[in-house]
Amino acid sequence: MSEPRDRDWDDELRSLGDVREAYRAAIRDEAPPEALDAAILAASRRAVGAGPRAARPGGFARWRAPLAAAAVVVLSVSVAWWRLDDLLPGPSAVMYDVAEPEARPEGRTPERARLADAAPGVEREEDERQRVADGAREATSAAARPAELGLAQTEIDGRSKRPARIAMAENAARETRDGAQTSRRAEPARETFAPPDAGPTTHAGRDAAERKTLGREAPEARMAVAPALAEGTPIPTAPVASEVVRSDAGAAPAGEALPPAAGEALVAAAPPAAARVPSPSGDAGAAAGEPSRPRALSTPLAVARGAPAAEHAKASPPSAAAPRIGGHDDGVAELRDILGLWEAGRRNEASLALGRLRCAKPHVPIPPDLPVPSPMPLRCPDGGASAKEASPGDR
Amino acid sequence: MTDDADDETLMMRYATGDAQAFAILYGRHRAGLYRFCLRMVSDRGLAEEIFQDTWTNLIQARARYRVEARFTTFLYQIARNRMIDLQRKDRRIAFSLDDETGEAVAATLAAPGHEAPENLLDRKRSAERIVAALEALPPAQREAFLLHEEGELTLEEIARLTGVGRETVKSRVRYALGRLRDALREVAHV
Repeated sequence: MSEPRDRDWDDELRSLGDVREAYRAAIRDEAPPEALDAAILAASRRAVGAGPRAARPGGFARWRAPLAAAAVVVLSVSVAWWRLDDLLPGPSAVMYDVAEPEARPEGRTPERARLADAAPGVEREEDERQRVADGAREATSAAARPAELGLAQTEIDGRSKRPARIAMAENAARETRDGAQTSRRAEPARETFAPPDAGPTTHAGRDAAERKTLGREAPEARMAVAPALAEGTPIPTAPVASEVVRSDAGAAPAGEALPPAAGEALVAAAPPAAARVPSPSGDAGAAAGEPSRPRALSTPLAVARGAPAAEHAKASPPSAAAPRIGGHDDGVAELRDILGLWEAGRRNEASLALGRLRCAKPHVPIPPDLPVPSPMPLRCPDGGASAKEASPGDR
Repeated sequence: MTDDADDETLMMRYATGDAQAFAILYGRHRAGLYRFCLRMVSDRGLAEEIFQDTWTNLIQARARYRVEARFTTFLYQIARNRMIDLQRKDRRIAFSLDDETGEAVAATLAAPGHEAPENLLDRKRSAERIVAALEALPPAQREAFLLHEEGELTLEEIARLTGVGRETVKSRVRYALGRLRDALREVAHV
């Protein structure tokens, strides 16, 4: 950019200095309009993003905050709905609310409503039995907590200082069994489909009610028996408190020693005076005072549903070919799970589980009043042999 | 930002986003470029269009700017190219920057002051006379003079810009100044 010095040219320009001054004086007032200046300067600012318009957010930036807020709201509602669905006390409640919005009396299920329509007297009888059984379960639960209630423990010799409350519960259970025996024989398929709030909803509650009816020994009695068993001392059984329905003594010998684990699991909350039935065969186990294995006293469906065993105890006559429930391979747990799935609305899974049960344990009788249909056709891994042994209640 | 920074530095700063640097540059060269455009086309509307297009092109070309020459050369090059484009689109525009023969024609023309020197009595009239004398110059001489006076370009820069030799530029500038001096003398004699 440097230019070689040109002295002649510099002198010539100096000599023409007056002309240049006259020119500058003549045109010095000529300038672009202010509007043109403003337009060009604004364009220069816009080009580099320094102008106010360039600082304004664009389309996406303008909607970014509202979109984010909407997304947060949608996600929050979704998660809350999902969590609420999980936290509900039971799926049955939701099903009832959705399927039958009309008001339903407490403990009145669709099946019960149908039964009530068919036989009003039976419905009342069912309600009465349910109420009595609930009282018995409550008494059983109270008996299971003797330490909490400050109750006296049962003596070894069977002379007990039972509280009046437990005695009342026993009487109530006895009355329930008496009434249930009659009604069961008259209407064997009349089964109560209890809603979750009509009875014990947990397996523990059902087991307690079942054990109550099955006539197991009281926990305090078991507590006293346990050391004696350890010492090998024959322990006298408690007096017979009530008749205990034994369905089939031959199929499961009475007086069969209760497995320790099973005893621990099953004998938890029986009333103190619940008696064990001496084995008719008088086997060694019974003679030694070992706890006899309780016989099946109710139908599989009743046990699976957790209904009070009292109402099922006499439903099946002792000589009838009632299914034997009470062992660990009798399918009660599976039937409970299947019924739970069915009540939860997972009907396909319940049907598939029933099919698996029929294949895996073909000896388990399927109650005829089980609302769960079996998959048709039933295909078992062993070639379908199990299907031949299915009970008549299969559908 | 200081105003004493050279034009090239300001342009580089503007290329990096400094709008204030452009404002300083614009303030320095707006009047000279405007007069250059106005004297070259002799039409105010067309001159303003060229003027605005020149600055707009400079803004758009800021990223491509390299300090290979003075900023003034770059600026007036843009304006000149814009004038050539307009002339190619509209032949009625009465200037030709490439017409070397115009110098000979202009030399034969009588100065405007010869027609009515008695009207140039005051300073305003003297300015008008000078402007008229300038506009009567052949375009190449007028361009060389304007680039020299308004753009303050050197002979070499004008030569590179116009694509002619340095001596040709010197001759054109000398001739333009001589015609203006004649115009001033005529005003003084009146």
